[in-house]
Amino acid sequence: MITRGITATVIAMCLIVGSVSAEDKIEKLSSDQTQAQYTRKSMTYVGIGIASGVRILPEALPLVEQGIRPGIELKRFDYNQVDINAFGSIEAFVEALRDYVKKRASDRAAAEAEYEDRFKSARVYAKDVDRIMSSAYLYDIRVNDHSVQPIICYDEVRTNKQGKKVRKEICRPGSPTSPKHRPKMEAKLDLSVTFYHANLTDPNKKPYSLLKELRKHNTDSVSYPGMPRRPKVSSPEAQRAYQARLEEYRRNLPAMQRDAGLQATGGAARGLQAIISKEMKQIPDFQLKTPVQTALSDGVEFMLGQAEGLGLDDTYDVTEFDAAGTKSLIGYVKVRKIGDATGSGGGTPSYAEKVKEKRDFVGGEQLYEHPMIGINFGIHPVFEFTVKDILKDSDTDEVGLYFGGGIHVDWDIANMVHWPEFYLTLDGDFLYLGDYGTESAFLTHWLLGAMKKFYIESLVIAIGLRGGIDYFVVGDDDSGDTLIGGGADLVLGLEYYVSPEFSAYLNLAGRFFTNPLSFTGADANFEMGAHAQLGIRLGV
Amino acid sequence: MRKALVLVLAVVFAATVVGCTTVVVKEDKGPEILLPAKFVESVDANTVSLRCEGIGPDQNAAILQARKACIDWYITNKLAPKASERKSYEAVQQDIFAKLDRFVGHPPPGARDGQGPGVKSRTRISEDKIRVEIIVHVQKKLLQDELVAMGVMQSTEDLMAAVGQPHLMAVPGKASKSSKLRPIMETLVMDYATSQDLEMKDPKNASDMDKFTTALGEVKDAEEGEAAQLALALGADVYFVYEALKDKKGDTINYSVRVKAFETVTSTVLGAKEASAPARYDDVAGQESKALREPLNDAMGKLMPEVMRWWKNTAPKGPRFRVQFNGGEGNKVKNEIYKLLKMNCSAVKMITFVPGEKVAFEAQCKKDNMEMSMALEEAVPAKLGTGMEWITVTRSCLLGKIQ
Repeated sequence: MITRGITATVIAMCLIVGSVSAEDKIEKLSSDQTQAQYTRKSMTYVGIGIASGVRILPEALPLVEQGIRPGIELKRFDYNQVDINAFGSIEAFVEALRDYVKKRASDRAAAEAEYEDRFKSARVYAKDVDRIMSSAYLYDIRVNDHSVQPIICYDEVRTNKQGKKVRKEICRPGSPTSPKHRPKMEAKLDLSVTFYHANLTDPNKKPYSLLKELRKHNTDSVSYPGMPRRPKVSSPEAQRAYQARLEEYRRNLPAMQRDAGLQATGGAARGLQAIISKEMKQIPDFQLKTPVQTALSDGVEFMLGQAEGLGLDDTYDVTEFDAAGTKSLIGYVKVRKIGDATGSGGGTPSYAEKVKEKRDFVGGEQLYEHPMIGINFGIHPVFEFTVKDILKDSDTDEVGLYFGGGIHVDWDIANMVHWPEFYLTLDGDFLYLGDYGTESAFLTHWLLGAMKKFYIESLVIAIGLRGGIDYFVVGDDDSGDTLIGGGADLVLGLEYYVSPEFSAYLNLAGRFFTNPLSFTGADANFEMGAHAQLGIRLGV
Repeated sequence: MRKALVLVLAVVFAATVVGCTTVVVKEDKGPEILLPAKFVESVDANTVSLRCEGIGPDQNAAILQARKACIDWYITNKLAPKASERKSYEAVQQDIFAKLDRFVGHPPPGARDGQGPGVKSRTRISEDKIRVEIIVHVQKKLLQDELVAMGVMQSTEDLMAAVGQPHLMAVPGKASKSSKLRPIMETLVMDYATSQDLEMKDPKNASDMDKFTTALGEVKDAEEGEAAQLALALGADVYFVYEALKDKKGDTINYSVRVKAFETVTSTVLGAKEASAPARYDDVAGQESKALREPLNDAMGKLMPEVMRWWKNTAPKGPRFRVQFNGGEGNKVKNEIYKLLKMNCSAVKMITFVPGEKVAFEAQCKKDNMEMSMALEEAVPAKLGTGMEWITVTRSCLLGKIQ
């Protein structure tokens, strides 16, 4: 009896000690937060829903899905091709998903696990399978509000205080009643993308829990054909033909409005894609992270790559931890070369250039994705010097010196052209030229071009070529008789990178534009000189 | 005046030269601060996995120091722990560090899911120093060979060539005897021993066990009496008794394996180790065997060095036997056998004496079992004036009968 008791005690003790040892071993094998690595998550799209009272055409829903889903279904996830419609409830769906994921979890865990010499196979513990099972997420789209309305825009000509005719564009709700109306459909969309963490490990607990809801709204409009114009001749045939066209137009109007409304709804959804994608990448569960593998003099190498959908110019925070576990930001890097590395150690590493370093990178720092849409907005005062005054005749010796303001938008297209730091740039400025007769004269430029940037750590050198139009504005005349010229400039820029969201820059451009005044027959000078912009850039 | 000017110029010149000359001060490089390591697991018979720490101005330097710390700890704590060996090692430490790549791996990039070898932690501890924690594999066989070549320690092979390899036997404990896992365990133990080039006796090969155990009787003070009888019958020097404790929760399973090593003749416990591995899903093919093998491997990996250390110390003193004679005239048999053993053996201790029934001794002798059995065959009839015959003679047991 006593022997049995002792045996039972020994067995119980062994079990207790055994479980403690197991914990110790896991702890010994695992990395801590200072060396965290993103591991793939599985994502399942549950479907699109509509809030009560919201009216939206059934045909619009696939357009909303097509507009949003590409921004969410990123390469960093595995997608479970499970049709939720085959299940009556989300609980039943999660139940089925549990079986589906589990079948694959062991294979995935083995693929991610360490190869173990003694078994000639991967080391896969239940914890690894559980981790895969615990990394299953669901998301749905919900339309909270939606409206589509017809809009008409038309020009209204008024006489100002000086007795001049001024043209203004007016837009208001309504369907076209005049050929002068420019009709369009405007769609307003308010939607939420909600992420849930699926519980696939414990059938006794709630099948899913809310992770994050992203709610956004956007407006878009799409034009459709306006009313047919009245015939210039008043013959009965022409009138009949016009009446027939008018009848046909009126007959087709609802269909045209419907199509344009659907397109506008889809456009509004597409417009939300980038911002939802950015905010989703900021959710810690989905954020890419990895330790710095090698610190180089000009950058870092790390083990993420094509499999996670890494993009050129993607920005990463460089952080490190102190002994107390406090994280501090010590710089930023931008991706320049994308390798085929996997977080589990295979393949070639990716390379990111150092763009900000508050402390020397010495290897082992923790990188966290800093998601950006890739669009920069700049605002700047403008100074321009021309060889000859634009407002004067060609035989003048006076130079021109003007000031004004300007804005620009840069769109990073590095991933399209496979060339880092390559931007499509749109620049607009508004220069005060002085008095022209009794009125103030202004010259406006709109330029579109390309820009390439080179980083010397936080100092950025930019070179760009842009072409576009300029037009002359005198007083507040906007009668439509604006004089337009054309030209181009070559830009050299110097920028100081403070953070992914903020930098300061100085651009100097050599500019050549035709003088819009020359089209009036005046003997006007070309706009030829130097153009300087000093401003701040905000990145999103 | 001119002299004074020259003097002033000379002083200014000298002061300038002294002031501008770079003085190179060669500082004595102090000993490297190597942090202690921790044993993680036995990867295979020749490789162990260790968790080590290093400090340096950058990650490469810190990892280098951690790798040095790994082999430094393994040498001073496992391979050459004696004071004399440690002193010899310190003299050649830098030579071993110069061949670091042979003995200790580099942490691979991006450790797989944080498991296995890799950089496990990296923290900044001061403005110019970081600390890293790594898990790496240490090639213990290569390291041991190098230490032998450098004269730091004696070769295990040489030692074993001189004293011979111990003969081992492993049996399941009472709790695991009827377990369906028993064949798996037996295979795993046999595999482990084979990979270590050890002679493992197969308990299934014991024949006429009933006759032997009847003649031997109960092995007193033996925790695992049946195993002790078996080890004596097979002639094992050391026997292992293992237990596997299964813990099943839902679909997951994990095993704790407990292995105890006993010296056969005295049934002294040489060591006991226990290991367990994290749970695995048992509905995945092959996982149950791995769940069992991993802790068994770890437990044997921890226990074998202790057994071998004991064997290295005891084997040069000669083989150990249980010498038992059944029957004969009580005290006379006891006394004469004791005298005969004392003449041939360095250590003799009586275990059991039942007058007229049996007398048993533990003996450590310079002669092997054949020499001892022949010596007793000649001497016993002469001393006792009666015949004798051997029931069983094995490497660890001489069991005879006085006629």
